[in-house]
Amino acid sequence: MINYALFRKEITENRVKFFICFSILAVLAAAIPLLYTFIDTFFRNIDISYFVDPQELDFLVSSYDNYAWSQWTAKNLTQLAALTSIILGMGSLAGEISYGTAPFLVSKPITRRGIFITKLSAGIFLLGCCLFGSSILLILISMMKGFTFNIWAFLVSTVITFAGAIVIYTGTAVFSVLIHEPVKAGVVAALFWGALSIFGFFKAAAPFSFFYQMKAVPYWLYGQSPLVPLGIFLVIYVILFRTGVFFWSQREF
Amino acid sequence: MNWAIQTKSLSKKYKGIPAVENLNLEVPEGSVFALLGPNGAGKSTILKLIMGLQRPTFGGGFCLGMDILTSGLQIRQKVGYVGEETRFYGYMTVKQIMEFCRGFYQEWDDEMVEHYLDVFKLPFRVKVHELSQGMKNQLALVLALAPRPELLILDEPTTGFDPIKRRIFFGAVLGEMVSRGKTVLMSSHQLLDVERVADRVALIRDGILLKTCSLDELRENEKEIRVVFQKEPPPELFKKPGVSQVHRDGLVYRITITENLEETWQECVSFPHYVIEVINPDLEEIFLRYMEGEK
Repeated sequence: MINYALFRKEITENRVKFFICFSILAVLAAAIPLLYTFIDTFFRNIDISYFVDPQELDFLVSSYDNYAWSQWTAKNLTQLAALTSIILGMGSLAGEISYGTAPFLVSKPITRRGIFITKLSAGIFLLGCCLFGSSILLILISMMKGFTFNIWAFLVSTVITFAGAIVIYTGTAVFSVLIHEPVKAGVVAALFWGALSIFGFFKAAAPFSFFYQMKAVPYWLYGQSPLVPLGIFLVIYVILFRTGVFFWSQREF
Repeated sequence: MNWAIQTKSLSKKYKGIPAVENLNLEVPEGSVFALLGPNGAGKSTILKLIMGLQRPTFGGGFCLGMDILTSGLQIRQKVGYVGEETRFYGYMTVKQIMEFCRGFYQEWDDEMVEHYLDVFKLPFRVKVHELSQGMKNQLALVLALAPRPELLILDEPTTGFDPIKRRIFFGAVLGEMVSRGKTVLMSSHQLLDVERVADRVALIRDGILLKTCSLDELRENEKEIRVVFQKEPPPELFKKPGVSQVHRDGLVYRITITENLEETWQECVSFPHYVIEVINPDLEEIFLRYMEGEK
């Protein structure tokens, strides 16, 4: 189903985007263990109770586990994963349409579904490299600095964030089929996914927020099974995937 | 006769506007078949429908024995396609685009690719966006021939070519396809190209197939009688079967005949006249006659 020539082309075309996104993620990932001692000392020596709930602050710096998760998975990784997904997804199909290369591609012996799956797979592969590469870098530097923490739980939370990123990427690819200009598709996708984050601003509605689940909050804080968000993401992914394939198959060149 | 392509009532509409109407086309195996028609006649749409790139609104057909509605993928595996002004990935070099395309096919003839890159003087390491449109079309032909297709589809392939490039281009087509008994289906409004390579033609106007025949039949049957009568001829003279057009300038008549030449000729001769002659129109005249829509 995956065409490796097309897969390689996608990787080549997106290598600059990948390098930039991965570099930013890697710097942020490295900063977390490197700055832990400083942040711990800093927050313990100043009174910021006016800005941050003391209990919350205590939770953040009391253990390296919570610190790493809250600063990485729940913050940097989720935000940049969403951004990377949109950046990679916006041109996936709109690029072929706007640059006029789609007729050449579809005239090859490959189904529309095959094109969609291959492009999606390449994007997901790059996303995975970005997210897991930077998370593993964080783990390695943490270990070198001598911080002990639950690596398994940390990786599971990264998997949940990755699954959320796949959904955002697939959704952006759908916009990329519908809107034939990469930048416009990216803007619309950003607005769409941004609108979904609104639930997260209200405590009562937060569990229904896509990004609340993507941050692995219920898994990390309340011990919820990771299969719940993964299952939700899978359902949304299947719907978006089928929608994308449908609209891409309908387009005539 | 074995048909490489056979369509039945093939129709395509874009937003309700017909592009191809009720097309019943038969392309014999091993022939060089040309779709002739002006811009917007529906030629490109027909080619895309045959390759399974677009879905017909009505009707269907077979290409190399495969259903165009359900076997688009299998058809494209056996068909080489050169579109009008193909847009490649400009950042790729000629070598990279070759490797990219090779990844889609079960068969790929490296020797032939090298030979034609040499014939067309296509530089291997130059980026595609640096090539002229003519060179891009030549590259498209090499890419189309490399998988050793059973059928080669050319959609206005020589747009922007000079006569030398055109000759080399069709030399490659004839050498690789016709000499191996493979079928070529081309669309063109370049009548010179068609006369040079095609053995059968289909005349298409506004998505409607007007006529299909061999090029020889077309030349043989399409005649014009030019006659200067001594007095006004009876109108029944022009209502004979086979008279397709009548142009009149005073008593000078140009009668276009598609069949029954002998009968019409005798009728004209029997009527008092000063001059009478049969003219063999060239392909361009025949083409224009059909496309002007007076038939």
